[in-house]
Amino acid sequence: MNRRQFMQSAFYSSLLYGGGTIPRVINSAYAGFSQVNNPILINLMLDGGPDLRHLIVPAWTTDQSEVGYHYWKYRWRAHRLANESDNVLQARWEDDYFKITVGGQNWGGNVDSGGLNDGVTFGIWKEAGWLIDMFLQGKVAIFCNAVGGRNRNHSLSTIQLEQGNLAATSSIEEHSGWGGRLARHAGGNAIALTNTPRRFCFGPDGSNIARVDNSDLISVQDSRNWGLYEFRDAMDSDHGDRAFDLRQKLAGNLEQYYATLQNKKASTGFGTDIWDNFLDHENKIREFGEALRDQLDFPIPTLIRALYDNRGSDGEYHSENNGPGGAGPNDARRVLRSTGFGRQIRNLFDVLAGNDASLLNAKVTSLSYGGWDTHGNQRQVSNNLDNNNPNYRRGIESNLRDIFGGYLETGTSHLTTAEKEAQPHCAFSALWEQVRTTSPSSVDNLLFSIAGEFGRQIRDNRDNGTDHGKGNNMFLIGSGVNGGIYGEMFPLAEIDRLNDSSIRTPDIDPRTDIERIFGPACDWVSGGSANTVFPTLIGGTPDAEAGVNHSSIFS
Amino acid sequence: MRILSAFTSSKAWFVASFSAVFLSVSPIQKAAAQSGSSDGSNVITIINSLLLDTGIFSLDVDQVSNQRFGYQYGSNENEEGLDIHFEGQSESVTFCFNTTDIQLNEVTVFINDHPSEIGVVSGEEYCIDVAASLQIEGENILHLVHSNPGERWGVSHVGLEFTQQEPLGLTRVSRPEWDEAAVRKVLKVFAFGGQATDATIQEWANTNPEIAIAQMLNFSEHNLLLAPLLPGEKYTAFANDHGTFTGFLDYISSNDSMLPNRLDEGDSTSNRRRYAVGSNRSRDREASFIRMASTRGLNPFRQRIGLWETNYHLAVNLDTAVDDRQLVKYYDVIMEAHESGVPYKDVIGAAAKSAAVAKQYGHDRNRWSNGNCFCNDDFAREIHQLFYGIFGDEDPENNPSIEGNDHHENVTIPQTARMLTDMPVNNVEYTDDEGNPAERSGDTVTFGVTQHHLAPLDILNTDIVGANAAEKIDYLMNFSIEHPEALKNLPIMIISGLADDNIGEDTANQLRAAWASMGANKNFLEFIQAYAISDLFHSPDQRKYFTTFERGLYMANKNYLSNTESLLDVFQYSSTFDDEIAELFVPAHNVFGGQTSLEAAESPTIFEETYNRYTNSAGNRSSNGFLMRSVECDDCDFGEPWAKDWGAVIPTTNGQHIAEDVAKWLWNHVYGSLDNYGPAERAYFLPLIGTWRIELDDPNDNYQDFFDLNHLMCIREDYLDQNPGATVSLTTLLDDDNTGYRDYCLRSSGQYSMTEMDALQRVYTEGELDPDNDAEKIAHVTDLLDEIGAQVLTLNSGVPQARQFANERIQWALTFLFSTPYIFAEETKR
Repeated sequence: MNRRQFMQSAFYSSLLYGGGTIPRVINSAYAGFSQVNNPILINLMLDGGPDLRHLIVPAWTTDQSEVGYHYWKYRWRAHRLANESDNVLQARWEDDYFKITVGGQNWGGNVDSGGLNDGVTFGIWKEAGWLIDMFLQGKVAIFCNAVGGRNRNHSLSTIQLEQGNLAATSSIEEHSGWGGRLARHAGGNAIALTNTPRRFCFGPDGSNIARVDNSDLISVQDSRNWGLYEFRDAMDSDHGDRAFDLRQKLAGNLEQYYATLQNKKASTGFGTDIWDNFLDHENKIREFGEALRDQLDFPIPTLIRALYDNRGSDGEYHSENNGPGGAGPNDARRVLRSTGFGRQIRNLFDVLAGNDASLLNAKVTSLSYGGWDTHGNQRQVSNNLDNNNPNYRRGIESNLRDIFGGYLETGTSHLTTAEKEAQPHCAFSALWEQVRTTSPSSVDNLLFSIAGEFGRQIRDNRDNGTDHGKGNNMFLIGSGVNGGIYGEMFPLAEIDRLNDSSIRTPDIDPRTDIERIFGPACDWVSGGSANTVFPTLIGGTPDAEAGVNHSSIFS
Repeated sequence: MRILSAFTSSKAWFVASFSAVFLSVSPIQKAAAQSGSSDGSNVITIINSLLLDTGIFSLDVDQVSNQRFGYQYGSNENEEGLDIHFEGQSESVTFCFNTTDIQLNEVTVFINDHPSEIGVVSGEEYCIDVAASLQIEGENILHLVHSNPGERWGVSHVGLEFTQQEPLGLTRVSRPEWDEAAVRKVLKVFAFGGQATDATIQEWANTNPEIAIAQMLNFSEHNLLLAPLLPGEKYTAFANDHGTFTGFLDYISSNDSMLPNRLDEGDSTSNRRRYAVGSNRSRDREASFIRMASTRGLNPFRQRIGLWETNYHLAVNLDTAVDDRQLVKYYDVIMEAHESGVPYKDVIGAAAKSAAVAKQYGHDRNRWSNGNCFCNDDFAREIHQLFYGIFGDEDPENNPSIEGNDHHENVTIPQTARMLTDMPVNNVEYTDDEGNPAERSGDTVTFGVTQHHLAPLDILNTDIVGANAAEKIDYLMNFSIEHPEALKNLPIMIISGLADDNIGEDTANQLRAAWASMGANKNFLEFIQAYAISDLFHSPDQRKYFTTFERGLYMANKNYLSNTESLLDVFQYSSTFDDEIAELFVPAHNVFGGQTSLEAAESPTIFEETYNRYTNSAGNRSSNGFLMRSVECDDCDFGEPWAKDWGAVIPTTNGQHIAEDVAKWLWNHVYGSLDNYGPAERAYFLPLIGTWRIELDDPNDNYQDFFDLNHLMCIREDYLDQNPGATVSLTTLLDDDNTGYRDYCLRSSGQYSMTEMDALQRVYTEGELDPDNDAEKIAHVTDLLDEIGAQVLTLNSGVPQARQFANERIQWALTFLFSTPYIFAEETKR
């Protein structure tokens, strides 16, 4: 029996994880982009505690009874403004934020769950064009006063958010993540697109969610170069052979050795040995790498490649400093400041191309973007007015632009055609447009969940930054979402806390636990999964903001 | 001696008059050989009364005699036995020694004049406990009595210690458990493998663990046992100098150092100067650290701890506001504090007061002015959380019944921010070699008072006082180190960060107790040494996955035999870090530290990069794969040729390098034991070392190309296909003249035949490859492997070409070892 026959044998498959589910390539016969026919969750973890009150702000006003007055009074340093005079604050509000009034201007058909924000005017940072357009089309649910972790400890709050367990303690290292549990319930795989898999993706060990079984976790860190160098790679090429090609000797020998190890492990069982991780890696990369390479028989779309690569359609590298040029703004210059995030989006697009149940069987994907721990110099400003230059350090606004920048090509947009042409698609914008143009119906099966481990304080810290807080905004974005506001955007109680100097670390009061937000998202991806993914929902213990109807998040 | 004293227990009866335990050794006269009889004890007593004045050896407690005793072993004085004299103790003591030519029941052990034996010597290393009840006050004698006088026998490394060995309360491994594998495990986890010779490792394994660990793990700039210069080493200056990060960088960046770095040409200083302090190129800083951690004459344990402190526990990040000059100073400040032996709180305090940390967190800008704190609270939080593990969860003034009444958050952290005021970094203008302004940087902090919060501050429920931030930090450290949460978390942070990814609650509690036992002046090194020889570390429950850095630097030390190699970084470990998306001094999680062990273990990418590096990249002949370059060069060594010499370190058997023995040696050298060296490993590894092309018309025979098992079997099957019934030997397969690889298992018309493909892709079971498994083994395979095992490598050949090819095969074998699961982690398998 040769290796491939062996790997495909029922004997092996049944023993590898004690009869559990292991991702397996069933058929790699077809190529190209597979239409996304089933819901896929795309989770973005914002590491560091993002100040999303910088992204979505209350309207500036001189009315001291409004939160907006106090917000700007106590936040002007974090916006890196020259001073706190009315004209400076007003100019920032007027110039840099897209205004929406609940039930009024630009509101459209969005939902104000519980009617908590009637008449409230807020602004979304203008350069978050894709987010604005998606909101205008009713595809964005903003959850206010949400909480990933009630402590202000990065590591613990991150564990709590990724595990989906606000009761987690820092001593719990091994525990499944809510994304892994969702993928298991959906009968598919969790796909990690980050450099190393996030705990969010870790699957449960059977019914024990406190233990980890990563048999259905697949990591795609570099989708276009994924795979092990194999003996048979060169067999049909002109590059020598086993007798004289040293690479072939090394690869062939190692491949057979690993097959023998896999054979041995198959008879003793996985999950007990320190070496199992590495045998699991070998198995999955060898199986899926080759199949995905076959699937990806098309070049990386220009729109996607431009996120992290300066090459234009002419194949040449271009400087980011030269401004838009050539065939279009996305064509000749890198778009994102974080090339790493751009590559994650490339991986995501490729995984969507291979999402089919016969290949990756993707149900959950995992992205991350760091750099939100903005204690100092939260917003950076320089004389460089080219906001499209990714090398321009802009602090938190570089991050926000990378993720939410761009626009929608179709339907309602806040941008004119000319304005659209003047700016590139950023990460989600590029992904959305590329998927839509490649496979129009596929975008309707994508659901973005976006959150950080905690929020930040509502007063700046006099070091042009903000320190750790608790509550924050979170997002669900997608065609299936009933867009709108879920929770009181700017609670009046914050005014007292802002002005009470005895409260040294005022922050957003956490009212809604993540289970209330992501539970319905799980149900949308895999019907009836919420209580399995978040067992705390069964007892009804997670907090939910009074008046908000979380059961109506999805149609 | 400080460390030894830590292990010394004052349990002797007469502590005041016997501060040391004396051990004396004397031979027994022939009459004592009859002591096997029931009344032999009387004879022994009489004989010893006559011999007390002979051969007295005195040793301090926990010391081990370096003499040999026996017959035809060391000397001929102990033909019939050996007496060991020692002072009686109030508790059980243990004698341990290594044995030579002692068969079971040949040597019996008696104590004083007790008529019954108390033990029978067995095994290569033997220990016997002597209960307190068997000892007498004053002088005692342990008798080793040989039953067949005149036969060769001997003992060595005779040591005496209290039976109960619990440094810091941790149960120590016994001397028999403290074997070569245990020593190598310590080196692998705590010293990037170190570069100790086999002989030194054996000596450490044969002595008391306390003695060995003090030699293995210490903070000296130079540890010539751990990182010795091998005979013929060309670059020896590191044995006595250049042991700090600054000193090392100054030296290797200087054109005067005459090291095998590319010299600057003309007026350019870019080649070497890029290693200089202040280069502000993080990749070069990483590259220079790799060299420092793998250069002989320095101290890889020091660098291993330095890496952890500056990239994990007390991490700063060159990709933030921290510059190179601040980082290098930071590294040295921390490691010099460690070396000085100050309590760990003061090591942490030194870090907290550094310019690097001030720039990292931005509190160099913090100031107290007109009753307002113009501060961020970043380090105000992390000085507690990251440096000590204090999260505030157990703050007694927290009141969870009141929403938001969190004393730690609302009092301790804001007050700590006020402590960290008026501590700007002193920037000065640095110039280049021509005197032109090059950079503004500062590696020291000025602790001012005018913008400092002078009044006492309520931090950790304690009034923290001090005239400036430095004084307050120093004062705070006394309370931080003893804070209940620090006592609970810091020892776990240390051990989980360095050595164990599988700490259970019982282990955690033992570590906490050990840490707490040191009182206020907790010593990091003492803790690490006690742990490294404890049964916690040498337990099957302990698991350690290696980060990219740990694995890469370990591989470097397993591969490099000379400073020429380390200084040239011929294996290009910098690029391997890059491939695995890890960069030293640019932690993946910023102040929360670099890539973790568990992340590395869970990352298929790291596995993939490793696998492909040692197949596709390593074997790329057309691009002069890096393994080829790492064996010899014409002029890389400062214009001189250089050649690798595995023959100098791999032992011979009867003067020859037998493939079977070399394979086992190399496996043990890289993995630290033969625990995982089974039939399958032998089958896929041994051929890389023991096979090569035989060019009958070439006097330099022994070509570098090796043959793997499946390829050999492919040649065989194809040959038999075309020559049914023929006899096939290894020579047949390797011969280039009509019978072997040049004529069989070839792709005809671009394709292998079905027979060939079946052979090439055959997956063997372990049973099929096991020569001792008569039921399952495939005899022609195991016979062939035996034949390969008997081959002689030309590592010491007088023909340079043959020597080079043999060295290259060792390198190919390393690619295999660097690609198996066993390179990614460490466990105790016993």
